[in-house]
Amino acid sequence: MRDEEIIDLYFERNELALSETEKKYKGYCFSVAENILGDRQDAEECVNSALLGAWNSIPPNRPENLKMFVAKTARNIALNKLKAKLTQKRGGNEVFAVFEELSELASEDTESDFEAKELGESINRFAGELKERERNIFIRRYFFMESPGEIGERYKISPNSVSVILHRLRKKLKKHLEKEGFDV
Amino acid sequence: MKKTDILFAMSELRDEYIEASEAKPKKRIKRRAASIAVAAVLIIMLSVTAIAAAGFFSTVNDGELVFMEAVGGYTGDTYQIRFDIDVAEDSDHLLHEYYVPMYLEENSAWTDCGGEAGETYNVMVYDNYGENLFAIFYQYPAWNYDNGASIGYSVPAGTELSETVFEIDGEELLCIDMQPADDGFRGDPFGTRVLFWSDGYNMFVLEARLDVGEDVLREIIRSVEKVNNISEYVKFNETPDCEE
Repeated sequence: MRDEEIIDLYFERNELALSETEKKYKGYCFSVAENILGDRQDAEECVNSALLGAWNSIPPNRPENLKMFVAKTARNIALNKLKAKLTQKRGGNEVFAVFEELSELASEDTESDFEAKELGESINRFAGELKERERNIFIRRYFFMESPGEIGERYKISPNSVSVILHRLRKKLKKHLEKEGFDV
Repeated sequence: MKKTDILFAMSELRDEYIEASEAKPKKRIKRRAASIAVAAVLIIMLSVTAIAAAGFFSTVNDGELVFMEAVGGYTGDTYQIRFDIDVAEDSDHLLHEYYVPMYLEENSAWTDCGGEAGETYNVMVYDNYGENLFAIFYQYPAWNYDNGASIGYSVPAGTELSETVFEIDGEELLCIDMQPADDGFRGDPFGTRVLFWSDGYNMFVLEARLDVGEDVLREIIRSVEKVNNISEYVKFNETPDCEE
């Protein structure tokens, strides 16, 4: 079934929308959540919550890209689950490594007065300025949380080269965020 | 900014960027021909300069000048590799001369992808195109922070660390082996060996996969020599190029 038809089912409040979304995108959302949590059961729960989230938010939302809509919802739910794990120091090494890397960008762990959306927009501007290959490596690491080994395999470069590229990208991102007025 | 803000903000990345990252990567046209030509030139240079390079170790550490200390960490352990500040007093925060490892195996290169030099660092990445030798050479000023700390390593919890010395031509280099509990550390299931040494002005680091032979590491280190123009070897203050 095409995405537009599935979205119409959501608008008709037809529960077939959920099973069609699950059929089409459960596997994808599961891998996004599992990469973050490193736990199949937790990932499964995230996907179910993401489907419920889609049911609750469509309508009024009409996503242009249903796959990304549910995947991003699953990612955010997984990250919220992860927060608890981080404080208890439990979870997959890769997520800890990503968290540690991105922590370099925040000099202080303080509440901020900007909206997450503003930061997201700034990161999009940064990503838009990167060469395609750099942008893809950046996204594989910081959206999908893949290991340098997995990224290296995809782009036929060594894990160490990936780590060096990511280090350089984080430095660039920090400069970019500073320039745009974020407190980093 | 909270440390988790950026992690969450990544969910705002544009759908088209995310989807594009899932496409099969475009085939890279490797600069193999160019690399082989450069390799040939470097091998000739190496044979001419091997004797000159021998003085490079004259003030290398004796197991005490370069040392490792744990400084804690949020998710694992973080270590600073420090250089004895008394010995580093002649160094400053900038690099004034650049060193390059000249060692090359057939069909390999110190690649443009990942390598980069600037006023405070020089990073060179060894690539033998899918074979089992991965190595990165770093050069930093021996004193690049106020406290003289030169380089930090963040090691995920569970990583097995061992600190030994690596002998080369009668000198002892600080050697840290990192064996991940799973495939955690830099995603490399083989583990990593990191060697540190200094000439009093520069901190040198050679990082390689644990299964790279000691003889190869020695050859790489022996081949390190000062160059007049670093930009002939690695991009200088310029984004490294990973694609043709």
